Amino acid sequence: MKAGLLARLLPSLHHRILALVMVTVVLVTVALTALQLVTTQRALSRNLAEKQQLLAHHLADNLAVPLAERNYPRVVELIDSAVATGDLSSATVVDQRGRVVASSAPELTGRSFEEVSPPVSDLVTAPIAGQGLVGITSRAAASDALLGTILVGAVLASAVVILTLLPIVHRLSRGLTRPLDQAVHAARRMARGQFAVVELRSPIREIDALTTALSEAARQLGEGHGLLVQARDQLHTQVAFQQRLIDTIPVPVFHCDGAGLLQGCNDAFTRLVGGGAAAGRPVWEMLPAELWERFVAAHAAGGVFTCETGLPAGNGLQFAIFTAAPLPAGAGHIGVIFDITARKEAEEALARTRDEAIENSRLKSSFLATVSHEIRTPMNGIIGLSELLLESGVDAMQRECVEGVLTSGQELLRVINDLLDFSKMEAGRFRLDLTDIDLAQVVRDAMTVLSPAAKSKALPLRVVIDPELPRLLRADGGRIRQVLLNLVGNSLKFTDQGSVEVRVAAAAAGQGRVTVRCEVQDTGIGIAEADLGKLFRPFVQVDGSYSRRHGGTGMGLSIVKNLVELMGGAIGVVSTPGSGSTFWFELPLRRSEAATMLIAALREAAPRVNTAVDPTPTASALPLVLLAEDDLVNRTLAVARLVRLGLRASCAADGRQAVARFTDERPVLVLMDVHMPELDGIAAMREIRASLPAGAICPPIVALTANAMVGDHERFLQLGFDDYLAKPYTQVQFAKLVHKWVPESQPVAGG
Amino acid sequence: MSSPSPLLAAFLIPVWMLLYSPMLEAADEAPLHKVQIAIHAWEGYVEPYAPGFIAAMRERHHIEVELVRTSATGLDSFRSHLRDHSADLVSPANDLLRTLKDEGLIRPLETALVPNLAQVNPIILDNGYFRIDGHTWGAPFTYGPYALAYNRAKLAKPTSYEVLWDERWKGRVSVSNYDTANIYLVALALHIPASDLFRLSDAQLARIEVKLRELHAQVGHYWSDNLEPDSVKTIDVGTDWGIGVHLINSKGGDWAMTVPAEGATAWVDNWAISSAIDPAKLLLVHEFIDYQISARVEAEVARHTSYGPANIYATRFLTVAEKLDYHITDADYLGRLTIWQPLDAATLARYQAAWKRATR
Repeated sequence: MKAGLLARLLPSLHHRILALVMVTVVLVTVALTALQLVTTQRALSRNLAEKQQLLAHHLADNLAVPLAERNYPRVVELIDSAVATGDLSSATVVDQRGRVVASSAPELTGRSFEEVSPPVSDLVTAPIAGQGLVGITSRAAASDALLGTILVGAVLASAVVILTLLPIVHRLSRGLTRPLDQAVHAARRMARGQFAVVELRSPIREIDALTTALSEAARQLGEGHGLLVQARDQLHTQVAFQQRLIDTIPVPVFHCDGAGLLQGCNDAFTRLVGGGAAAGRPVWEMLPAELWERFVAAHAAGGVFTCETGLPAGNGLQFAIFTAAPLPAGAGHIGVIFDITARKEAEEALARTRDEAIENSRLKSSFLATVSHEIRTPMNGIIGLSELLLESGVDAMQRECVEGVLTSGQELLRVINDLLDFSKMEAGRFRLDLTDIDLAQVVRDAMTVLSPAAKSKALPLRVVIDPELPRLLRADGGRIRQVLLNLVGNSLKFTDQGSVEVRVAAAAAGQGRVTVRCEVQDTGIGIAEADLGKLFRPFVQVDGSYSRRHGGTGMGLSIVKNLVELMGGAIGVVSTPGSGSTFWFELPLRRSEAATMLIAALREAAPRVNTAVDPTPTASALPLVLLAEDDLVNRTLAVARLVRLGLRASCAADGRQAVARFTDERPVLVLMDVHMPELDGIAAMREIRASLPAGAICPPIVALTANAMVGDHERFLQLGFDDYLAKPYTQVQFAKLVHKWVPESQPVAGG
Repeated sequence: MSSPSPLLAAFLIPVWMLLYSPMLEAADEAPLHKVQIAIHAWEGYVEPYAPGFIAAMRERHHIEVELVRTSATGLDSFRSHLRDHSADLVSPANDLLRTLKDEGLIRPLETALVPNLAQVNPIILDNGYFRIDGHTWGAPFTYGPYALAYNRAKLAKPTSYEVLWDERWKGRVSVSNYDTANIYLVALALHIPASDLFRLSDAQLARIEVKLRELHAQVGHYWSDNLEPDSVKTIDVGTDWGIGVHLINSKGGDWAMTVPAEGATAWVDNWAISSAIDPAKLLLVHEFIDYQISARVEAEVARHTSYGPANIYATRFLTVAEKLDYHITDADYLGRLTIWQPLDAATLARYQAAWKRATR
């Protein structure tokens, strides 16, 4: 405010110099005047005091006689005369009693002197010859007049000095400020872009330095201005280029300030918002308002905001990915809108296709399960009855025929199993059944299965197991066995002379883990190098003649590869055509010795059902197994196998009968077909368990079913069955299962 | 001053304000309320100065005051006017105050309402005749000597009262018929000490009576109010209060007053208030008294009567010639005057009896 007032009163340096000099003169004059006034006033005060004393005594002398004569009117007359001279402002006569007897102020008469006396500093008293005293106060008029004269003189002197100095200071100031004015004009020309160098000179060194520097600055600014103009033109070109570039971007791009007001955009954005993209228009009027709020909130948190959003219909876009990023230094936001309408439509179409595929797959799986069940059930009968027939004593011709039936049945079963496995893998539903296994035993079991085929071709089948191989491992023994059966089966299939050797060793071991490497080496026909790449592809056989000669679906190795990889391993082959092949696979397995030992210990300690007391029990003393099976052939086959295992069998044709017989007969094991009339196996199992009193031990109930689809095993265990055996099963599989739950049964041959 | 006066004044002012408040409030609209003050006083004491007071009251209180004066002639006239309540104010000389007070005819003044009282000549104030029983019964107004008056054209300034007994002026002597004043004059002429004047012994009074009888033989004319201008053709010397000489000179005479070597007695006239006054007039009569004894009015009084003003500051309003004429600043004047004192009844009776015997 003060600065503003000063600027209005003294707008220029010239004025300020003038003002400064004049104010200085005035201040000096005022100071000198004040000094003179103080000095004079002190002198006057001294003189006045002396004069007052003189006047007081003189008046007292004059008053002595009238007072002595008690001539009070004369007293009044005298003091009035004294006051009338102009030297006194008051005079008061006081008698010896301290009473005012006369005064220049009559109203004081009769009052006490102490009561009416003025301040001591102003009062001068003089005694009146023992009759009282007279007190006077003086006028300061004379001294005031003198002081006033001095003051007026000082003011006049100041005026004279100012009037004398004014033109001189004015001239000097003009000389000082003229170069500055010229410099200002030069600076204004520069401000208008006129950088012509002007030589400004001043006799005053500092101003000369300033004007010289200004001239130099003008020169340099001129140069810099040229560069700036050039840079500006380039910038305009660049901005135009960038705008063109942005306009050519097919996706909408815009830029807004911190308040959301549009600052710029490209053509795509303008098209998007229907031509209403005027600068300064709020973006939330052009885009969904909640979008603006969300990305402002995201930017406040310091991040780039990206979201998928729907856009109002009518502008061609229905779905978009909106990405917005904050600009540096709070300059606002930049946003990009990607049109994903087509992609969204494609995704929706894809989702529909996927749903259809899933539905088709489900239908296919269901169909496969049905077909598998329907094929396995009769296949169980064919294989089982063929085995029984071979064991019942037949002549050579009959044996050859039965063995043909059996072989054909087994081959057909293998093909079906391959199909089912492949189906499971394709559907991604293949599950590993990890249990604690004795890998050496798994290998030997597989060799036992294949030894008849080796014998039939007079090929030595050797098994070499590394003694360092851990005895117990956590793995899916069934799948390892399947891999071995496939690889060794292939070697036997394609080897006519020489031998087949299986080597199992621990390739690497670590903390609780071991990598098991299995090699199957044969001296067969070998595989051409060119065919090695096609070896593990599905439905491919290296040579079509092989298929015709040796049979097979071409899915075996593909299934094997998938199984090994499913178990986290790798598989490969080294082959020399005409000399043989070595198939290998490696599996990373986990040791599980402690768990296996615990299970073994528990098994040893577990109470036995119908513990054998008599080593040669009678038929009624044999353990009773309840068999629930609606299919007569399979029921007959199972009964025959149970008898061969040294057990008694009680049969039920449906679930209802099974429940009734269980209640009556209390078997040690229940083999329960799942699909049965009246009451299915699952319901029958639940009724049996429900019929038992609380705390009673229920004998194991095992599901027998042709349901061999992915997950069936786990599903039946979850439903409450103790175990599961898929149809068709071999005698060995059946015997192992039964022996597992009824140890009193006869062990299976070779198992 | 007595202590009850301020308290009484503090009481009176509200009372007066209450009584006159209707008049004050309605002053702008209603006609001025008229108040009459009856004054029984000597000639020249009221009328010349009344307009100033009336105007002041009109301005200050919006009251139209009417001052009605009746001429006083002495104790009897004062007494009669006070008794029949026909006077609110009287102007008795100092020797009458006690009598009027003792008879219950006057009342004390409220000195707080008369500030100019402080400006009265200290000689008068110190005499204190007006203070009786702690109260102030009168405000000193004018004073004057009872001294020699003489025609300057006929004789030189006399220096002694013996001129009255000079055979040359026998029959051309005029004195007052005021008994006590003449008693005092004769006593001074006999060089009886002034301090004895108001308690003369019988022996002194006897001597005075003899001397009075001689004077009586000299006197050609006894005046009652003052030396009478009409008598100057037959009179060359005598006594006067001062006003008589003033009147004679105003008609072309060349008379003068002088206090002879024996000194003189002096009267002091006072303003006193009737004890029967209407209370509504109390403040007003106090204002009148204060106005009358103010320096400016006192100067006017001197100018009209040639009496000495009680207010010493009256000198400010008088010319040098006036001051000389009226002996305002004459050191030989009031300073040598013996102011009358009130006399008790017995003394007065003795004095009056002597006077009557001498002038029979």
